[in-house]
Amino acid sequence: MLSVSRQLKNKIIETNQELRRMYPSQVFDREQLRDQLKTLGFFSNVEKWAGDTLEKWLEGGTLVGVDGSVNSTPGAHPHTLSLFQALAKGTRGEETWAADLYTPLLEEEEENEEGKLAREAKRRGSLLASLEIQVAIEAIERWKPKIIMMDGSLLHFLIDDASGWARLADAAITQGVLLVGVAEEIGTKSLARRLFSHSTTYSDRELLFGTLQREECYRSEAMDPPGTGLWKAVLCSTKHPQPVGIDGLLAQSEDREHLIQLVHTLTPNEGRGVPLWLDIVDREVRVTDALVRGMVEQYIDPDLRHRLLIPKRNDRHL
Amino acid sequence: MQVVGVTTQQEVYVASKERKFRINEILVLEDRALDHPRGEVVETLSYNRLIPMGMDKSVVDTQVIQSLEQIGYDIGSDEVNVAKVRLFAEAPHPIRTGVSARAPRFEEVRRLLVKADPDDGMVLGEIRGTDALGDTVDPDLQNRVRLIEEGEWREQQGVPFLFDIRTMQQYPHIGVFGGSGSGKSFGLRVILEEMMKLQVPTLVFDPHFEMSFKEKVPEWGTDAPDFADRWLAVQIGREVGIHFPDLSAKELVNLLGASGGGLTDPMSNVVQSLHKRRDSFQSFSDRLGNVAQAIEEGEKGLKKRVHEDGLTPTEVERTKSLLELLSQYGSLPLSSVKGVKWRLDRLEKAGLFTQDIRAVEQGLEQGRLVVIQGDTWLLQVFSTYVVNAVYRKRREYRDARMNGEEGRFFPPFVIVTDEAHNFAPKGVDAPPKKALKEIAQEGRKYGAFLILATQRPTLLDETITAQLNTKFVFRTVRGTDIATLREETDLTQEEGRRLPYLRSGDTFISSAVYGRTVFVRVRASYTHSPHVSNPFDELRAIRVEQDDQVLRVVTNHLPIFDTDLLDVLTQVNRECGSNWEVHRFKQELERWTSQGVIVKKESPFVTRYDQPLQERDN
Repeated sequence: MLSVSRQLKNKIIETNQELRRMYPSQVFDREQLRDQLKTLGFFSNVEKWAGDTLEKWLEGGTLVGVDGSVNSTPGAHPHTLSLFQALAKGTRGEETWAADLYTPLLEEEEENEEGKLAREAKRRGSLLASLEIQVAIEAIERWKPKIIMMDGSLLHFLIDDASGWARLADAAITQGVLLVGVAEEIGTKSLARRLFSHSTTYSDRELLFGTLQREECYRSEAMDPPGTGLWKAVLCSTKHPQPVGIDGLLAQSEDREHLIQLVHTLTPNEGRGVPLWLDIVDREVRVTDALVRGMVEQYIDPDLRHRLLIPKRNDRHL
Repeated sequence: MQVVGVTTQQEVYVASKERKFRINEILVLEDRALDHPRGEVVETLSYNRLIPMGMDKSVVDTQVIQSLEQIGYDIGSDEVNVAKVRLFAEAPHPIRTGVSARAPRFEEVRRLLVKADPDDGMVLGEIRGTDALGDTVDPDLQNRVRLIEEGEWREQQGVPFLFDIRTMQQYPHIGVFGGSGSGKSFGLRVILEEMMKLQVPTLVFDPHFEMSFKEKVPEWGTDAPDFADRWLAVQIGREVGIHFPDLSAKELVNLLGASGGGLTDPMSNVVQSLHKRRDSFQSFSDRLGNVAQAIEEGEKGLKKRVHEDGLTPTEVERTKSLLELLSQYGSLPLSSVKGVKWRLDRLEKAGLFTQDIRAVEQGLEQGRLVVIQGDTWLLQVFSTYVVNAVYRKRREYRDARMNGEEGRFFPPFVIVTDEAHNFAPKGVDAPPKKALKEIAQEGRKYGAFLILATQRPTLLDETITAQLNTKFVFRTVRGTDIATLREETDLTQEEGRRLPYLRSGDTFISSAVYGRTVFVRVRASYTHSPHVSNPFDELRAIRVEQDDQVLRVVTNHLPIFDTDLLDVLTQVNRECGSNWEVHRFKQELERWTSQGVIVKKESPFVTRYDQPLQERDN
């Protein structure tokens, strides 16, 4: 028997009831939701490209996947050190890397203690986004590929590093490189707001869960984030009920169908629904715990390392 | 290529994305602090981190991989090759992780791979994993061997394996181990061919009658050396035997013991008492017979017989001599006397005493390879005698030289036998065991060496196994034998694991000379065993031949009515030397009918066998 406190158990039961009240099954009825969604946009079937269609469409161009990764030493703020890495990897073996490092220990002490952690997190986010944008721009300039596929929605690049994004979008449009972002999680709320104006808690993710059939795509102008120059679609490529989000530039919207089809084609039937190429890039760029540990051990002097970076919890016996 | 992961003084892992590693290839690790240590790949593996294996991981469907391939992605490029490399010599401290590794140039490894002059050494095969050295191999080592791989002949690509027979002085005796079909007998043949090339006096005991070097392998053409005057085969009881008058009582005891499970004490007492120096077989056999008769009849019976009437003077003389024998040897137990006689007769019937070992000695003196053939039991008896005899001769010569005397020269020699576990079994006694053990232990002092082959190293006497300083290990499947071999050699765990999967003709050579195990492909032999034809092919060939013969006779007599069967059969039996009865003949006719060779025509009155062609004409 696991020793669980009665109090904790009751709290969990209560929470379940509350969640059920907020998300009643009758609201999240699949058919009903589909009908509602159809009022805002449309569902369409997507087929995988067969044979050499993909090759022809690419016209000899390549596909470049872009992903980044960050990981930190396990201490408490500000005793941390974060390593950033971004990689743009082309299918013909092209690779370009960028890396950065951040530690609050070397930052000027800020007067305002409040919201400090949130700012730190934002800083980390924007640092990573900038690195990814940097390698993406480099990839465009160096190899002029047919497509750049970013891990994560394009929207978040715009939010995290607006100026960098502007340069990337500009470069992509002028060089004729298609830009597409694939996001595992759908973070928008625009559909939910339109359909359930009474509730502020619902998000698009919850509405779209299980709503799409396999090999189906949903598009709606309501989803396109206004004023960003981006279009957005959701695609259910695999058996997984949670669809992925795809976004691209409105300026390149004539290739929208092709991009969705491309993402679908490159996604394994089993798995989480993200193109294998992005998984491959992710795998390579990932800053693992072992890498962080190894780098710190190798290059930070032992006294500094112990004084600043190694938390006591590492010495727990159990 | 780069050293990765945790390293030790003995082992490192080397990884490469571009290059696959080959087992047993040699790599140079560019650690300058350790003066570029060299090592051998003992284990290899490849993995692709994008194609994971595991119950919890989903399998990437081929469709996606194909799509990626279409846009230029080569999933193979994400393959990582890893090799476990064992250093030839232990380093004083672990190799630095991260140093690069490279394939060696030949001059960097010649010392490690070649331990003999190619013209003086035995050229036994090609060292596996050295193909990469290919063209850089010194010219004196090129084109030394040819090999057969998967039934195809190929030229030497790597470094030849040379065994310097002279190192036997320091590291005596060779063991050849491997299960049936592992290439053990083949390897032994190659070793013997090289011995003949070097004209080393060699004595081969051949229970399988397979050590003939007469039949050349045609593929070698004129490149094969001619062994005609380098070897001879002798059969016990035909060309060689034991010269009875040369036997001492002690040797005779050994010999009789060898012929069947050892002698009891009373039996050896019988031999000791009755055998006289320079006894011929006849005189000794007669004496045994007479003593037996004397004891059987007893003193009373014999005395009574002397006084019987009508005895011729010779008979009286004989009875008297029997009485004399009785008084002298009457105390010997009759059953033991008879037992000795029975054993002696058995050896005599096998022809053991009709010849001597002159042919063997002469062959050795001429530096030839002498193959002694005979049934296993007879070979055991004879080998005991002949090994003792030649070893004594050699020892006497060496001892005489040691004492500053001239002595009669007898050459150093090598004794070779297959199925050695029959000659020197562990635990139980066998006739030649004592002699072989003695040679194993101190033979090198006198220049007598052993090459023992067996498929059951576990059954071979341990003292002897321990003295085999070079071991050829072919494919071995039996767990206990693998354990024994690992105990007795420096085979590593990885190599032990590979043993059941070795290809026929591939062998690990664990030699004190090399100080490590070398993986070798045995070269193609110049000659082949007389037993190469498959018995089942033979069966079919004989059947076809017989059929043809009989059918020819039968066809001449067609049409045959069942009333003349007997006449035709007589003809068949006479011409074909067969011994059939009518019933059998009928069976064969039926068979040919069913095969359509002849046609059977039945009417109410008579059955007729005829030619099928004529039938059709009708």
